Amino acid sequence: MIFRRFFYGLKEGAKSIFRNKVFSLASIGTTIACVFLIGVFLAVVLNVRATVHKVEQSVGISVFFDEGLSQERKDQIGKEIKKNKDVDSVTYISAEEAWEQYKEEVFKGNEDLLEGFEGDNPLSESDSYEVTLNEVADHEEVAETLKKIEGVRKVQYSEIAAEGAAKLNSLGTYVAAALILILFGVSIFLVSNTVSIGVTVRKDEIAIMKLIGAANGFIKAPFYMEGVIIGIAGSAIPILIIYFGYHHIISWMAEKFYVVTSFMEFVSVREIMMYLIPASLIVGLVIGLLGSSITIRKYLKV
Amino acid sequence: MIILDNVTKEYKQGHPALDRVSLHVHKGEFVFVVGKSGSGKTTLMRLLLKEIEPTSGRIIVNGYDYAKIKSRKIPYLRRQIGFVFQDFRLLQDRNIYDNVAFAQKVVEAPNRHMKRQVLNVLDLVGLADRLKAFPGELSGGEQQRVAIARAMVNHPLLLLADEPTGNLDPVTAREIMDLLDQVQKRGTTVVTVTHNKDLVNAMGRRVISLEDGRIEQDEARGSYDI
Repeated sequence: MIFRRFFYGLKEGAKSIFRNKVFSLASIGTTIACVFLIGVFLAVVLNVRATVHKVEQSVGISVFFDEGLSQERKDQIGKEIKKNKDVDSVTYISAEEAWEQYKEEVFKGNEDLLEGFEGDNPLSESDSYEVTLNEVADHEEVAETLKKIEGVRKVQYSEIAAEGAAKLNSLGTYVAAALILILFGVSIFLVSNTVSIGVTVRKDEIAIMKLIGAANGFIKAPFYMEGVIIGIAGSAIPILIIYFGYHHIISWMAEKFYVVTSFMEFVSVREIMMYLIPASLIVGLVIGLLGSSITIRKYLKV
Repeated sequence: MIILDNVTKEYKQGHPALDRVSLHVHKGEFVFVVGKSGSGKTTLMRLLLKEIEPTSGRIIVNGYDYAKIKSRKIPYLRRQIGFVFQDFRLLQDRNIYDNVAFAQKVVEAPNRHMKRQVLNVLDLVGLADRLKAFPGELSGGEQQRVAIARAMVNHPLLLLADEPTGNLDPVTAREIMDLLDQVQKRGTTVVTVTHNKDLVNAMGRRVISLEDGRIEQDEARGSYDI
């Protein structure tokens, strides 16, 4: 019984879509636009997140020690820092390494200026731990905690970089969420309209069905199916477009906007699909079912 | 088969379309309901189909108490009631066979017997040779026969016909009435609303006359003389 009703609904729903080609195409089209944009936003968000993560990795906290602190205590401090759940990695930078790094960054190309420092390390008390964190927003909090450790003289981190990354992350998410919501609403509205055209076209048939004694579920099945087919078609097509288009867009961007893309971290199409396929299908289904049930509730009081 | 107990239906307050109507129709009876326009005939039919609810009073059809039946059970009640309208209400985009088979499909009847049942009932109404024709290609009388076949294919216990001959010439009207007569002889209760005096008088069946929403006359072998 359930199977028969399912296949009847599927057949009649598909028929209705073909019968009202123009309107069906319009609502499939808007669903495609909605899901496609969701896909694009998803891709952007995933890429931004990956980039932010990359920035996070490079925005480290430097922990400096009190003068004359023993190596033993320094090792202990290292262990203590590692215990913090927000800490991703801890690397010890010795005074020599710090000086080498400084020379590399500041005096590159002007090595002759370093002559006066030969045999001397101005940063002899500047050995430190380079700490990277899991989340951007935790920098300040973690820095405060690290300051309290005994033997720690100074904790240094780039507030601007950390805040910038955090802001980029949340702004992108808000914009994406708002636009997706708007498109979602528009798609539901259009699917609802398309299904209501199907209901209007079949008005006489529905009236006869009711009088003959068709079960409510039997009368409604084709309209639910119509919505579902529109929703699934509208989500499958953008998945394919994004799957095949992603590579082209990434390589095009890498070529044209080298400055921007050089610090970006691109995620693979596989990773995008891992989120996009289930998300799109669910969104498509929800658009289809919500759209058709609005119409069914409104026009099909059985 | 049908019990109406003190049934009133008011569309607007103070002006009842049916006014305290009580009647009893037995199983297998053939009943004409006659009366002028606005006398309450169509309201009576719509109440029996449970398309509308009575303002007061009780309706029982084939043991179903209309006040107590749950809305999801209404389809099952309607499967026991066939209906025929003046304007045939056939699906224009389907041929005769599909129009009749439609009634079986929508009640999700088993596929096995569908073809035979449809052919049998089309044979009964004399259209077995026009299966592939579309409603637009048929005369009014033939279309009404298809509508009767559609009403009968699910073996209803009650057949309601609202002005079934209203759009037909006298000869064809008589043929349709004879067909309804045959339907009744096969055991189905038939309630026919009509304006057609000649037919009512020629058939010599029970006649219920309505006037201003009330039963004026109810005679076992009545005539239409209002």
